[in-house]
Amino acid sequence: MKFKKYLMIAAALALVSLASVKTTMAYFTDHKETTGGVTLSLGDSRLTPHETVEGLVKHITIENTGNYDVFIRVKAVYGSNYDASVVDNTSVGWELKDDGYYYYKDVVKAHETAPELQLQIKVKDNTAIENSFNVVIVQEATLAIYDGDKVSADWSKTVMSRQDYDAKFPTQVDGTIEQQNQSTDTDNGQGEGDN
Amino acid sequence: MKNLGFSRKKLIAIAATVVTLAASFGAYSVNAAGHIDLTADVNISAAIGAGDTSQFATSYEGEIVIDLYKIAELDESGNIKGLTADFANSGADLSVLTNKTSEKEVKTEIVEKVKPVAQSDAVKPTDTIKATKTKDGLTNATATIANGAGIYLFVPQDCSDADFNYTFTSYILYAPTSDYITLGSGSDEWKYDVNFLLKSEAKPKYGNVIITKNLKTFNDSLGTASFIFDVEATRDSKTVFSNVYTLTFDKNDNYVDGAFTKSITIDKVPAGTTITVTEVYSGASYQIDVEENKTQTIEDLKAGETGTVEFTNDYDEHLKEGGISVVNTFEKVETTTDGLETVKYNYTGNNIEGGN
Repeated sequence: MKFKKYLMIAAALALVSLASVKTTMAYFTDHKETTGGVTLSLGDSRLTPHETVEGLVKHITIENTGNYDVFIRVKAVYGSNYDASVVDNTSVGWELKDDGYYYYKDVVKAHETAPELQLQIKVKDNTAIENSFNVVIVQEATLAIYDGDKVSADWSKTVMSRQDYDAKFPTQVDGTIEQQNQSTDTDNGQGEGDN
Repeated sequence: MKNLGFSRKKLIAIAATVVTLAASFGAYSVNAAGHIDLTADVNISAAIGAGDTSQFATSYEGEIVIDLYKIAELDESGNIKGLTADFANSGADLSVLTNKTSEKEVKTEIVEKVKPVAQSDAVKPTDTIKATKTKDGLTNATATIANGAGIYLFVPQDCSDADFNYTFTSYILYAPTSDYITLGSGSDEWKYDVNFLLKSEAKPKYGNVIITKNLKTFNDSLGTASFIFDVEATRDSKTVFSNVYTLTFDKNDNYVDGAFTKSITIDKVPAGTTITVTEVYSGASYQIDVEENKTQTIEDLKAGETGTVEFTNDYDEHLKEGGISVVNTFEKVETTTDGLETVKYNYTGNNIEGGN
């Protein structure tokens, strides 16, 4: 499970480059690895969904209850027998993109709530429903990236890969520096690549 | 033409209902050609409507048993003499047949009163049709009843095949009848061959599907990880089941044998269908191990059996937060008012704790 800890560290290091950094995270940039059971709380960004329904219209609001500014997006997931679309003259600031997500165009600051998104749900064939059906609303966020006056989102942002981390932060053993090429998961004795 | 004691409009009402089971009735006044031959045989046949595209009509193959009960005698003028002995205390009101009547009234005042009596142990059918149903139609579907003039209740028995249970509507028929009665025109000669149509309802049999998710790495700093599966069942290329389900992982889940594992059981998936399970959402920062595994198929799920599919994912090193999935459930409500069926959906809630 060491690799998981390294992932946490790598994620923290990635955050160091962002404008909003907690002092506890800054501490870890001076170290190559953590020891013991320190929990790195990357997840101080939290989304809290508030949803209501009127008939077959879904009202979605998202509150950023974390400590960081974020960009948010929403996806409605449903079976082939259904459809969902934005209700006319509502949902200002929301845009549907080709990947099926509705993106909110502005930053949602910490402790703020994004404007409401309204989705009309439609049933294509009543006979394909025995008793009930589900529509799942997925909400995601990514940290806002500040660069001077500019702010942007990078939904493809990743933590440092395991290989890159191993190369950059080799493990020091018995006074010599060795590349870490054995399993990073010593908890279960599995080989490299397993986790 | 002579007047019938039992007015022609009543005969039209019953006969039309027999043919369509959905007729409304109007007044008509025509005289009969002659008396009913009370000693003649009546031949009562079950049939399937030419335009019947129901599951039973198109797919069922096997035996169908229909019990016939004589509930009323007629005199040679066509007047109702009264309920037969077995049904004398049923509470059935045959007087509704003497006025302009409706299918609903015949059902409530006659059918629903005599049917429980017919199905009691104390009463035996007057005759029974044991027909054979194939994809080409019905054979051996006629009962011949000596001295048979009267009013009959027909009660098709339930039947089933591998994928469906079938139930049928019971109703009454008048034997003999005439073209003039059934069609509103043509000969008014009494015809002792009477047909009735089977009106069926098919309820699917069900199997279950278990979806198992293995998550190799869970990054709990990014919060919960939700995975969504689209489950579709088709029969003869038609979608008969369509729904989405979620599995959510959090830091409290157990890591066993190299992965966090959770399962969900979906019951009441129609049997005899081809089921496709697709992972349509793989968590905010997770990906499936092999892209080809995103869609998995269960062929011809049998009634009472369980089909299983399994998906494996891993953390994909992204930093997308959230992946919260709110499951909103809508319940189907069907109502029938004045013969018109309507369907609406009531929101029954979501999976947010304390949510509405």
